[in-house]
Amino acid sequence: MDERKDDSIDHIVEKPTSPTLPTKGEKHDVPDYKEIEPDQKFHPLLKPKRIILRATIINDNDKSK
Amino acid sequence: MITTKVSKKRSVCICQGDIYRDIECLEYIKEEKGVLEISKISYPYVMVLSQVCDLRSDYLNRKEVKKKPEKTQDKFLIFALVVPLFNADQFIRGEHLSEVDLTMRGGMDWESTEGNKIMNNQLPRFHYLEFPKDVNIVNSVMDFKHCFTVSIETLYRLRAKNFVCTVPPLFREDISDRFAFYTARIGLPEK
Repeated sequence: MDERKDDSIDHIVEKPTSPTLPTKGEKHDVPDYKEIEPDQKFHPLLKPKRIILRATIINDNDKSK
Repeated sequence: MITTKVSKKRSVCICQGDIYRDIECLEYIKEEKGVLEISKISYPYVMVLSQVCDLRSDYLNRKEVKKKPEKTQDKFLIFALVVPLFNADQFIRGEHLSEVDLTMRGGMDWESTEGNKIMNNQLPRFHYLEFPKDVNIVNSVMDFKHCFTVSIETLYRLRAKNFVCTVPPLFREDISDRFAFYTARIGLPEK
């Protein structure tokens, strides 16, 4: 399929939702904030981060005995 | 450096060049002594690089199956290929993956020969992106070595909230072409 045909599909025009992450032009209270050039602002949260979740497995079958 | 053109119009289906925020990649799941541990990496921004025709066929097939459940799901995709976008300033210092405990090659600056090559997209592994002022993403670098997949159903579920913008045809084709070239490379033995 010619991928340019993709442009012919209906487009929904909508404004993107406001990002929750800090973005360019947004002020943040980070310790090294003053050392960053105004047009190159970033926040540590903009780095990929690892999230580890732990949960105890409950065996319902054991409870019913 | 050419500023990447982007559109904030969202097409009806997931498209190559779409940029989404807050996308998670499952790293592992393990169970030990009744405790389940799930590790995932959350990426602030990723760009979809699956082929447009595959994504469109997936969308049309899903639509078809919804109307006629007896139809096959032959064109369904389970996953979409995505590449993360890293903050360019963190990238050049090699700090962009510090929160997943990885130290990347740093000590460069954009004025150095290598930094300049990255910015001008002369190194096959990376793609530098500079966004227009109305797009709230800082200058970024895509590292093709860090591509991963995201469930298509997850992307459809998140897209109303997490879609940021999309890169139009010529620009996304350039990125896709460079990505294909990089992943198709052949490493020959030195001896």
